[in-house]
Amino acid sequence: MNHQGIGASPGIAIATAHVIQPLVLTVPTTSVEDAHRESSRLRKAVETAVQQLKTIRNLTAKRLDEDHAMIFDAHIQMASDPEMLRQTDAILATERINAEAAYDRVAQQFQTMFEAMDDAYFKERASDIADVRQRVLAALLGVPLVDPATIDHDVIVVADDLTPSVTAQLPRTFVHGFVTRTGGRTSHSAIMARSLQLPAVVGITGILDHVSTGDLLLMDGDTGIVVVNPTDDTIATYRKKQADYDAKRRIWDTFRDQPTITADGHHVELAANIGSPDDMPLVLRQGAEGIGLYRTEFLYMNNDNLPTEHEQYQAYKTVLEQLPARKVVIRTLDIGGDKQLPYLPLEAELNPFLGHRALRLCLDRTDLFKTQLRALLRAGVHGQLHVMFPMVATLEELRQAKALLQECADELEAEGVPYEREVKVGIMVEIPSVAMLADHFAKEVDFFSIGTNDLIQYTFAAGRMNEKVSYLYQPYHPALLRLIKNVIDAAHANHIWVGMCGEVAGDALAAPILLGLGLDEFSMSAASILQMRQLFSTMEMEACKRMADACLGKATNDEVKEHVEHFLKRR
Amino acid sequence: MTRTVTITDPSGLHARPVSLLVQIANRSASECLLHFDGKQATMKSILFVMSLGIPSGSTITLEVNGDDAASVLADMVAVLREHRVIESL
Repeated sequence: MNHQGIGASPGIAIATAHVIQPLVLTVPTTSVEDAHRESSRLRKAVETAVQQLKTIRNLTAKRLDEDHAMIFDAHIQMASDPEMLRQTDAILATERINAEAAYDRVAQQFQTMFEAMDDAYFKERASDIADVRQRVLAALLGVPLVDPATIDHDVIVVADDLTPSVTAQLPRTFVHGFVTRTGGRTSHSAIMARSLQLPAVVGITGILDHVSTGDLLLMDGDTGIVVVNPTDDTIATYRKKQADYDAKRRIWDTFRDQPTITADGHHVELAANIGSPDDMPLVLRQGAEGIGLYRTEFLYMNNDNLPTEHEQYQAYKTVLEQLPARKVVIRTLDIGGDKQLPYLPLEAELNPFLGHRALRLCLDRTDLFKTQLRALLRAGVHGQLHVMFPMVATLEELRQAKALLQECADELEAEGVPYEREVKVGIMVEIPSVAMLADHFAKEVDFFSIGTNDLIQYTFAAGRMNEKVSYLYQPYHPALLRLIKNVIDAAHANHIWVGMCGEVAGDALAAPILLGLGLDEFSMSAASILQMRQLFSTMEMEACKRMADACLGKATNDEVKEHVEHFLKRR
Repeated sequence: MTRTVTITDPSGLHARPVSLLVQIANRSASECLLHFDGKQATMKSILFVMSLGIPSGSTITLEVNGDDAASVLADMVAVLREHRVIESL
């Protein structure tokens, strides 16, 4: 039977299930004679817990790194926290009850206090307290804690939830993945799983009702699918999928830390398109040479209200500091059209795609726009920030946007808030007016990024969401290629770089044409980067130049496609 | 001895620097207090300090009473500066 959860860490695993039952500790309350004895018992239990945590800490430092091990330093401090002990002692002295009951109460109070905090970061600390509390109580009650280190055969671990301490102890040689009932992509365990490159699926409600230790399990950490007692056919299919993928990965992995270079030594940049900081682990694993497009709409869409300057600053900073030496292009708000915000009512328009959206909206709602610009400027100190304006149609709009950016910089300067003075500013080239007048625009920006999704829409006057006219989405059409060539030539004449962040950038068939036309940067979904890098290593710039020239003279999309396919086969 | 600092880290006083401050406090025999917004917490307790939930822009006062007050305070300020929780002076 198939179960669907959240794919938290990629990879396929097929092994016997090892179910870790949730530890339910019953904490009795009893009257005692000797409060001092209870106090000693507690301290001994704390000492035991601290020793266990020290072992786990060192194990984690060896298996992973210092950063992950430091979680356990905090756990050690929580276990031996003098305030916790002082409060417990006070209860023991006045109420004369057993150490378990007194400690449980104090720990619960702290846990509740943290759970009630607004800040998501501090709220999460409640589960750290819960983990420590369980450890100390188990020591007091003499209940052995789950010791995953005793697993001695190939398994997939199944549990209600996996605390960081348990995850850290999973023996890599035998544990090939884990599945949990609760949790999401950003829980401690999921994060550790990705660092350990251990397949993980989380958030499968009811899984514990369907799996017993000993069942054969198949899990896919990409799709979040878990199959209990799969058929031989299913196993064979997944094994093949796994083998194919492993073989390709091995080849692509060799390209991870390489720059992108053609067979005749021409260098281009392969960057990643992202929607949120959560996308970064894959970006880094795929050896992206930068972020070519950070779509900021998700900050606005996954929210009940406008994201504050602080929230935005945090998100941008997180991305910038993970790639401090590489360029990070962040696009300002691009809503309207198909992307609506429930809390920001915009007048209904007859034609939203051609309407009051993106930069037009921002130049009108400068309150909104300046909040974002401020957050960007402030975050800019953490890396190589490139601010990009979408939907620019005229020079006046560009100049207005740049003036607002300068206004924000001046305000931050006056407020004494640190911000990036050398921020780079560029534009999406997606409206034909800009593509045609690229020579003028190139003089007023630091870079261009061609947004083919919308450029194709506007050039062929056909909505990409409309099935009836989707045949007019013609990414190899010579009209489009000529526009692209104009943009690239204008950019280079004015010594600025030009990239592409639309879907065409990740298209293997378009790659040789774009390369031949002189595109400097290709920004795509991170998952495609390594295979594209391998593809570029087989191409010759000079041959692609000649081939692209020929394409410009064609008359239809199909003629160009045929020409490129022929070119690729002939090599 | 006291030292007053302003938290400039947009995340406020978060767990990593708190953990390091608590380590320093626990290595010393001196009394170590953190004053914030009329409240005070012993810096030997990570739970107490974290529960203050000190946000960005706050002014806090570190108080250390004992023989090694000067070096303890210096260590604490160094940690806060290193983790960019406060600005370098």
